[in-house]
Amino acid sequence: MSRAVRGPKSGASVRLASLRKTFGNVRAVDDISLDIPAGSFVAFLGPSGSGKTTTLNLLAGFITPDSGEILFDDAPISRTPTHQRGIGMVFQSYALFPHMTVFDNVAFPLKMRGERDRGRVRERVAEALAMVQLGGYEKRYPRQLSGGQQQRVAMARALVSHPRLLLMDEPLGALDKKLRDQMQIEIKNIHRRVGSTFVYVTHDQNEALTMSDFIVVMRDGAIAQAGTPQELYDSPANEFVADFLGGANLVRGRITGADAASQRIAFEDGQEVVVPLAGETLEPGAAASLFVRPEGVTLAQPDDERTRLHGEVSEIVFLGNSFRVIATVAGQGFSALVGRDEIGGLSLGDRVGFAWENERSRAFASEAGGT
Amino acid sequence: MGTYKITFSMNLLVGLVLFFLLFPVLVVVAISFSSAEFLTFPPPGLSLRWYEEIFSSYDWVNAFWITIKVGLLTALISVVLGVPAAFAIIRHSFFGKDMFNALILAALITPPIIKAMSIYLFYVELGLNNTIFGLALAHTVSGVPFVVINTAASLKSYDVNLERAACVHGASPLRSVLVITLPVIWAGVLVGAVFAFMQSAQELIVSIFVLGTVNRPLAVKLWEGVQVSTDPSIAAASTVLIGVAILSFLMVVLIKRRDGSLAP
Ligand SMILES: Nc1ncnc2c1ncn2[C@@H]1O[C@H](COP(=O)(O)OP(=O)(O)OP(=O)(O)O)[C@@H](O)[C@H]1O
Ligand SMILES: [Mg+2]
Repeated sequence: MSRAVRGPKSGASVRLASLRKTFGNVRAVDDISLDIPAGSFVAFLGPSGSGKTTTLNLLAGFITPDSGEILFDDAPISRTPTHQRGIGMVFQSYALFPHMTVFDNVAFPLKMRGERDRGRVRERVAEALAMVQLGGYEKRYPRQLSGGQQQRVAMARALVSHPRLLLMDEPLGALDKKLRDQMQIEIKNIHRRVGSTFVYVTHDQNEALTMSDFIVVMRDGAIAQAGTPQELYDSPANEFVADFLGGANLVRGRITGADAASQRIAFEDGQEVVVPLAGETLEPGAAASLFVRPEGVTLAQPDDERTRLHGEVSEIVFLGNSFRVIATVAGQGFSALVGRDEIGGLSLGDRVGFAWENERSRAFASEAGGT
Repeated sequence: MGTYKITFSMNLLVGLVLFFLLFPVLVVVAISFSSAEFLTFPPPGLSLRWYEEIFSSYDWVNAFWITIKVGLLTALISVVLGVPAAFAIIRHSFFGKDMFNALILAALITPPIIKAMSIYLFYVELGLNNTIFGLALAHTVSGVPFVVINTAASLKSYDVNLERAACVHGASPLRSVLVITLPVIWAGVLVGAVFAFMQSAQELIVSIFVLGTVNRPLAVKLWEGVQVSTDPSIAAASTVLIGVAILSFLMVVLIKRRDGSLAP
């Protein structure tokens, strides 16, 4: 078993308070407030241009906010220059120093932070390299390493001085799928061992779901929703989050009415469903989407009383342990994940009924041209 | 087949042009090895007597050293001024940046005689005429653009994240530039310095005005030699200067080859 690389100090809590940053007329970060608990693993997830890197750069101090404040352990750090913030960072391009050996790259943060004892430096570098399983590569230069190995060196360099906060900007983006899956697990393990606060930027929802304690979904510089992976997956706050995180059925229609506990959505083909008021509460007549995850949907006879929605089977995909049944509902796609034994003799073109438990569905304001 | 013809005639054309350009140089080099007393071409016989002559002449050797000193000093000052200028141009936007840029490059196209006269008059006040430092400063005016252009080119392709990585891991901004950025872009800076040196070594007009009386650099001495003497020693001295230029050029090629990022 490898030794834990735990520093004297553990992770910092991070607070973003009304943070704003504009570039010209682009609001790259638009009033973000967020609390990151000490020692947690937080993923910033969002499409390209949603402000993830800008947020990270604000945390690192590469750019200064137009307004708002950042606090590490409740102490404001806006005026602390980057090199005194005591953080580590892994860049998407790794940014290893090309003219230095692996050893010197990893030793760099120690030397810059005043570690003069060469024995200590050697020990800490060896520890960090062992943690990323790269012992024995000390004398190589970055260009003599594969992409995956460079990534590990970048991890070791970021962690060697036991930073309070580790920033990672799509650190696995340049790796192939297999290596990425493996590194996800390793990074998660490392996080557990070192206890630093990890802030991880990605636009891969799987990465965010599997690795993090908290996910912050970003959109157009603002937070679309923040919460645990389960919260976001089970109760997305809006159509954007529902669509971005995991597969979702989003069938567009209009709100036709509401009462104290539920609201009704009608679709073009005249069908109507009732959903609980847990999502967004919308005015009658508003464009709305029915949200329900495919794995929450079961098949039913069209005349079964449990059936909430009818459709016509347009595709059946074999997934190994289950089938994905895709049907046309009100001219739109609707899918259900169905166990092998439930599929029966279903075939293309059949009319089919869909059922789900009421609380697994929501209505969201529908965005023109969305999905 | 057509392309073959075109390639062939292109090659022929290029060959002719090169011959036309290089012929005078080849003549000078050939004459420098002549055994005759006069500048005759083709030389009647071969010898190294003119090299012996210049290398045993205090005047020629002194001129050679002055050229080297002025050139190295020019290269050094150009680097000290040009590297920060390149950083300013690539990394920052500031008021008058385009003017600043144009001003630096203007030094390359100002007519030499104008430069020479104005610097001379300016130096009378400062007492910098007839000093090696004075000529080096004057040459720096044209040396800086070479350093700026080459350093800026390297900086453009340099990944700023390297510097950020240094900063985030504890290096102060100045330290990150010194320990990371400069070592990574050194090749571009060095190429600029070599150009600045070459430019200084071959410059004549400003040199005549500023350092043309007692301690003359090689270019000035050659120019005077052409006027007063007719023996091949000036051809030998020219060949030495050509040799310096070729060496510098080889250096540039080697630097570029070692540092892939600079490949044209
Ligand atoms: N230095 C800059 N100058 C001008 N605009 C910028 C700058 N940096 C970012 N932006 C803009 O700010 C917005 C947010 O950019 P940011 O890099 O934070 O997005 P991102 O979420 O990291 O995207 P990606 O997934 O593509 O990396 C974008 O519209 C981008 O064009
Ligand atoms: Mg980004």
